Amino acid sequence: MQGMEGEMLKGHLDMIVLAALSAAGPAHGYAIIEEIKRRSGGAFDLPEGTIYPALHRLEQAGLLKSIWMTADSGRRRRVYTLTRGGDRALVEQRVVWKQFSDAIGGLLGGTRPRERPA
Amino acid sequence: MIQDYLELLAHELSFDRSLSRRVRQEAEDHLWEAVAADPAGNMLAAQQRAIANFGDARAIAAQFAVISLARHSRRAGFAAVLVIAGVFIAMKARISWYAATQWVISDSLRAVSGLVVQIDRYAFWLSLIIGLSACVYIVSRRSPLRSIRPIAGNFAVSLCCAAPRPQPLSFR
Repeated sequence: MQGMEGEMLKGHLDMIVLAALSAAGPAHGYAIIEEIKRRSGGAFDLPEGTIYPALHRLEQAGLLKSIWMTADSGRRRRVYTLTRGGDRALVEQRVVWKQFSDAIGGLLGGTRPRERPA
Repeated sequence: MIQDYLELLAHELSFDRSLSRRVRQEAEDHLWEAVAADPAGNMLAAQQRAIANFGDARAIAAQFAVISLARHSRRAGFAAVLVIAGVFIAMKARISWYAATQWVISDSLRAVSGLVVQIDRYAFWLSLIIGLSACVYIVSRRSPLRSIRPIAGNFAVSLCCAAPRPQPLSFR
């Protein structure tokens, strides 16, 4: 079951990253990871390096933009920001997730999910 | 220790030099920040933990390889479309040039030239259609935000089979 959970998380990583960036505002990779840990209550134990391919993929898709900045430590760091497209994608994913969550909740809880409008 | 890890990561990403440089810098900043945030005073142990938490360099590079391949494929597709457009303009320019110079061919070559023009024309349109189809295919293969729906089945199965457990969800 461990692998199944991993696949489950991987499938939602893009949405998780967008949500964390939306909450945190402009942030670099480490700060995004910290935001994910904080907001999930430490529930997601993902290798931190995994965040970077997701960030690059989302940037290529136009959902994020990024710039180099210099940190107080003097090191260069890449700071990511959600684009309007990223905002829209996150809104869409929230709607889909809510429908999906309702459906699973209905299955597991024995209650019927809310009827979707025709 | 961190420098060794960064060297390995950069080496694994050597298929794309600019990507390798960028990821190395990002990883370096990340790792040193993780070391700085480590509550233990032991520098060596903090570095080990930071690297372990960051993950396997080869696995990370493999994820980047997929992204890099997709980006290069898209670029190649767009380049192909540009080349085709260039050829089209050159062909039109050539015809205009013949008309402007009132260039004529001999009667013996006229029949052959008609055939060559037809082949020329259909070859061009065929290549244009193939090029555009390839471009559309490449663009349509982009998956910026992995949809929830395709994995809904897996998720449902995992939820139904999973007993309550204390350990966190994991990629590892």
